[in-house]
Amino acid sequence: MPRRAKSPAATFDNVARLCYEFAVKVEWEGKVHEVEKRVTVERLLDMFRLSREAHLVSANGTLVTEDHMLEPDDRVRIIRVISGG
Amino acid sequence: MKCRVCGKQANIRLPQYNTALCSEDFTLFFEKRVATTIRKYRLIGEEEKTLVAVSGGKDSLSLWRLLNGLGISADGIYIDLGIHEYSRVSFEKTKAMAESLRRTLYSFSLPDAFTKGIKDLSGIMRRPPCSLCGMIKRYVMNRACIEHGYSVLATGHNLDDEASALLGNLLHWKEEYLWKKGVSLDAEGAHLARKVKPLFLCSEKETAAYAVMTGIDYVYEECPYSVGAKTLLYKGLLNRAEEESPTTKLVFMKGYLKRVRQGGLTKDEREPKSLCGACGYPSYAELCSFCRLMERFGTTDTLSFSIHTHSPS
Repeated sequence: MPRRAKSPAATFDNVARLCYEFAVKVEWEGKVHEVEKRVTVERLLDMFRLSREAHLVSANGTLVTEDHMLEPDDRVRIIRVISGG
Repeated sequence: MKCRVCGKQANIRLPQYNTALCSEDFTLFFEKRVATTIRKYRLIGEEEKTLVAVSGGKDSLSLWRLLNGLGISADGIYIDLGIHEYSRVSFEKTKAMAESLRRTLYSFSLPDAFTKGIKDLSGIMRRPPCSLCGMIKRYVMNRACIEHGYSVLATGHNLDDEASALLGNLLHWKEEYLWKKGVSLDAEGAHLARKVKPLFLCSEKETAAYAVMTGIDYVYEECPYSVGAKTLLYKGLLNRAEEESPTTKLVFMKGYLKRVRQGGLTKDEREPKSLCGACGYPSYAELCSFCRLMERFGTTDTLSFSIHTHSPS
């Protein structure tokens, strides 16, 4: 499971900053997670154990397909599409 | 992955159609698909007054805008379930869409009618919130159609909604419900408006993608009372099957429609034959479920029924 973003205080830790300098930040259900390396959308959804049929992924406000490579500077958001009741 | 139409970078892959499309071409594809569904199944005739059931979610807001974009003049109806912030935000987004479309919006408020929201009513009536909500919505929206002269009620039910509901009914062999899962339900007499589902063949992922791509501001949060709903379980099961075998959901529902067309599934004889003694709408008993609720919890005027009209400013 990807790691949650460090709290602001933790960013003063040099080790953490070096490790996560190139992490992809992913917004999912109101929380920001960090993925430690460049990944494709397909791999990202696998890491979060999410269905490709039930989720969309946007990078910088634009929807992207499963083969799209996510970069550290991208603003990535996972969008749940299933609702019900 | 490139767009199958224009060759630009694709924004969505559609394994069920063995294709991938960019935002512009997907938007056109989606709108054409809905227009084709409306034409093929004769859902909405020319000049027919149409009311859209709007919740503030991606499906209903997309449908409302799309219908008006297709030249079908459709107004909306919203039901405030009294779920605090969730209802407030939903209503705001619905009103914003009504303003942008310059269409009339009708609204009915549970807290105004019963002094209670859906959760409290559900507890008192010992009926699950989703079941009670469905009953209230069906009644209010149908009655709004009849009283305001709309011949068609359009809902945002999509492929996933219909496939999961059908799966649930099949798993529990609720044969009495099987006939009514089609693209449309005919009007009956002067008391039941025709109900149509123009998004019937569009998956939930497609509808969400359309809403995102066209910038529709919808309520992203899930209804708090849908947690643990069986519908979500069935949708999950169907999506697992769809990932392994694309077109599963489409084949499932198209097969269903074929059986309905061939007469394999017919209307349940237990459908109401009488009319409610209070409101005059179809009922199984002397009083319909809604009037029983009103009789028990109606506030100032028992069996009063108040739908507010919001005209575009």
